Amino acid sequence: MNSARVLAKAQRISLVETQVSAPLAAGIAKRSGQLPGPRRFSRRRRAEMITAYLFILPTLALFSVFSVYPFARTVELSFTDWDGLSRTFNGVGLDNYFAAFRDGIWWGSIWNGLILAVVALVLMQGLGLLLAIAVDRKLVGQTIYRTVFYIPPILSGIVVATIWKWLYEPNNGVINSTLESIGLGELAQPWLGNPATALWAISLVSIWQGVGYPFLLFLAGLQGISGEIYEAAKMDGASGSQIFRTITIPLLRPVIGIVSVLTFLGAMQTFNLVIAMTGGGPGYATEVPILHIYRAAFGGTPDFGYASALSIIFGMMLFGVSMISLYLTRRSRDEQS
Amino acid sequence: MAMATSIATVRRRRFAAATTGILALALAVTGCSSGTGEAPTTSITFWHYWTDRAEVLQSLATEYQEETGVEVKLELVPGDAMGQKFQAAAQADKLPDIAASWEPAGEVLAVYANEGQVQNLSALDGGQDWFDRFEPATVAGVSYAPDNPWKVDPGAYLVPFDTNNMQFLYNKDLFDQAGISKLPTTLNEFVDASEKLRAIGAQPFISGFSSWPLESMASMYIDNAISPETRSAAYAGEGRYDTKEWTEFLGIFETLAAAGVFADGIVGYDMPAAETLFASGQAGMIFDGSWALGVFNQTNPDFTNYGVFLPPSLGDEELRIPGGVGSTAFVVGSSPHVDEAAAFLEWLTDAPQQKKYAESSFNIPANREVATELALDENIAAFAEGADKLIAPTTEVMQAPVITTMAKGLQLIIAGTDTPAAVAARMQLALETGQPQ
Repeated sequence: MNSARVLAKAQRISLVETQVSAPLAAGIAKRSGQLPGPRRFSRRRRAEMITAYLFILPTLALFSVFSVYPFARTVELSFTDWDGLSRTFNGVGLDNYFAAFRDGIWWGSIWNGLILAVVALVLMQGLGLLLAIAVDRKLVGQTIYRTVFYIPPILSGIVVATIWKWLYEPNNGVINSTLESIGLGELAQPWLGNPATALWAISLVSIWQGVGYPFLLFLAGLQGISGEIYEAAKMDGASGSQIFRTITIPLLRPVIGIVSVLTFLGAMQTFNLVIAMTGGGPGYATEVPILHIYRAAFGGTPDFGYASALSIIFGMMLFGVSMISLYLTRRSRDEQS
Repeated sequence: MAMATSIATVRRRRFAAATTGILALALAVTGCSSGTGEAPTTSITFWHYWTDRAEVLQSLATEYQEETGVEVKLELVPGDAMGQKFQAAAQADKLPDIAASWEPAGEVLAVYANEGQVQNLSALDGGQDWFDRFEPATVAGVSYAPDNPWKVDPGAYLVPFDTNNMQFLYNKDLFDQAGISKLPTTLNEFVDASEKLRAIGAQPFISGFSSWPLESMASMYIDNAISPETRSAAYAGEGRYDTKEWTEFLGIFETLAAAGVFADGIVGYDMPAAETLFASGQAGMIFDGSWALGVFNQTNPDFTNYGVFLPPSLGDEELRIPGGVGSTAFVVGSSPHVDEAAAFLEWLTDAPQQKKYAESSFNIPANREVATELALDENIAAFAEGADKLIAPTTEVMQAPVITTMAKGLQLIIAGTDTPAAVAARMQLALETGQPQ
C-alpha cells in the first residue's frame, strides 16, 4: 500500500512538473524561432477557432440569459427595497443582509432544513444502499424492484403530499386507524398538527419519495464493481462483512460522495411537501429556507429585495457545503488511489 | 437561358396565385364554419380560482359570447397561487384582461392600483354609475376612499359578485344525538356543547386552523374582547401588545383547547380538509363562511341537515363577525380591452346573471335586487342576516408582522406548546422589529 501511495505521489509530482515546464519550453522554442507567436495563427487554425466559438456561442448565450443574468440581477436586487412590482426601487446597502442575520425565523428554518438533510443523509442513503445491495444480488424480478423503487421520485411533490396528508389525517387517516386496530391507539397522533412530530412526519415522506435516487445511483455503482474482485476476496477467505467494509464501501466512495451532496442539497431545498402539507406550521415547526424566501417574495407584503438577500445567503451556504463535500470526497479518493 | 428564367418566373407567379387562392378559400370556409355564425370580434381572458363556480361562469361566458360576439376565455388558477401568478405575470407583462381578486381593496392591491394594473372603474367612461345595483356598504368595500393611506386615486376598483360572512355551522343530527337542545350563545355553553359532542365520539369543533381561518376567528374575538381604544393604540404603534388585555384574548384559545373544544390536530387542518370532516358528519361544529354551503353540496350532496348560528360572545357585548364583500374581480389596467372587460363584469352582475350565479353557487348575490328577490334557503338566509352584524370596516389594521406572529403563536397555544404571555411578548417584539417572530 505504501509503495502504491509513493507511486501515486510521484506521478502527481511528475504531472505538475510537466505542466510547469511546458510553457517554459514553448517560450524557449518561440524565442529560438521554432514556434510561431500567438498572433501568427494560420488561416485554417483561425477558421477552426471561429467555428469552435460559434459552436459554443448558443450554449454560452443560454447560460448567460438563464443563469448569469438572473444571478447578477438577484445580487443587485438584494441591495434594494424592491417590492416585486413597482417600477422604481431604492438602494438600501447591506440592510437586507443585516435584517437576515437578525431574523430568528430564518435561522430556525435553516435548522429545520439541516434536520431534514441529516435525516436524509443517514436514513435515505442507508436505505437506498441496502435496497441497491438487495437488488444487485441477482434477485428474481430485479427489473420490477428497480421500477417500483423509482416510482415515488417521479411522482409530483403535490400528489405525494396529498396522499400522505390523507394517510396522516388524525381522525380518518390510515396510520392512526391502523395503530388503533392493532391495539396501539395511544400512539395515534395528529402527526402534522403536533409541533413535536410535524417535521419528522415530513421527513419520512421526503425519504419515501426520494429513496429511489440514491438507490439507482448506488445500484449503478455496485454493478460497476468487477465480480472478479469479490471472487478473489472470497477465495482469500474474506467474510461477507469484510467484503462489504473493505471492497464495496471503498469502491462506492465516489458514488457515496456525489449522492451525499445531491441528497444534502435536495433536502435543504425541500419546499413542495412543506407548503402542501403544513404551510410551515404549526407555528414555525416545519418552516424551511425556501418557504421562508418564498413568503418574503410573495407574501402579504412582498419584499423582493429581502427575498433576494436570503437567496444569496442560502445559495452561498449550499455552495460552500457542496465544495467542502466534493473536496473531502476527492481527497478520500486520492488517498485511496 | 433567358427563356428558362422566364418560364420559371411564370411558374412561380402561377404557384403564388394558386396558393393565395387556396388560402383565401380556406379563410372564407373557416370564417363561415364558426358555431355562432361569426368569429369572435374580441377575446378577453379571465383568470379566476372559483372551482365551485367554474361551471356556471363558463355557461354565462358562453351566453355572453352568443349575445355580444365577445369571447371570454376562463382560466382556472389555484386559489393559493393567484397572487403569486398575478405578480409574476405583471413582471413578465403577460397579464389577463380580468382577474379574480385574491385581496380586498387594501394595502396589497394598492401597489397594483398605483401601478395601473388594477383599473379604477370610476375613471372609465360612464364611471361607476352601474354600481348603484350594490349596497353602499358593498361599494365601499370594493373602493379606495379619498383619504386612503396608500395614496390610491379614490374610486371603485373591484366588482363584487357576492357578499359573505363567517359564522358557526352545526350538524343537527349530532346535536340531537348529544342531547344539545339549545344553541350555545356564551363561551361556557360552547364548552358544554363540545363536551357532549366528545362524549358521543364526535369531534366538537373544526376549522382550517393551519391557515387564514384562524386569523379570521381571532379577529372576531379581538373585536369582542379588546376595547376599541386599546386596539387603535396598538395598531397605530402607540400601544403595546404584551398587556393583560391582549394576553387574556390569546388565553381564550388556550381555554378552549384545554377544554377539548377543538378537533384533534386542528392546527394541521386546512379549510378543505376541515370542510370534508364536517360534511362527512364527523364534526359537530365548524367556523366557516357562507360559501361553505356550496362546498358542502359539492363534497357530500346528501349532507343537508345542518344549521347556522352566531358564534358565542365572551360576555354581554354583541359579537361582530368577519365578512363583507365576497368574491370580486378587477379589470387589468394594462389590458388592451379595458372597456370590453368592464362591460362583461357589468353584464355579469346584472340581475338575470346574478340570479343564475346565486342559485348554482349558493352564495349571497351582491346585486341587492336579486338578494331580496331570491327565495333563499334557511341557511343562506341566516348568513344574509349576518350582514348586519359585521365587524365595522376600518382603516386601522393590525401590522402584518404582528398578524403572522399572532397566528403562528395561536397555533402553538392550541397545540399546547406555548403560552398566551409568551405569544403576546412576541407580538410586541414583531411590532418593534417589523419582522414576524
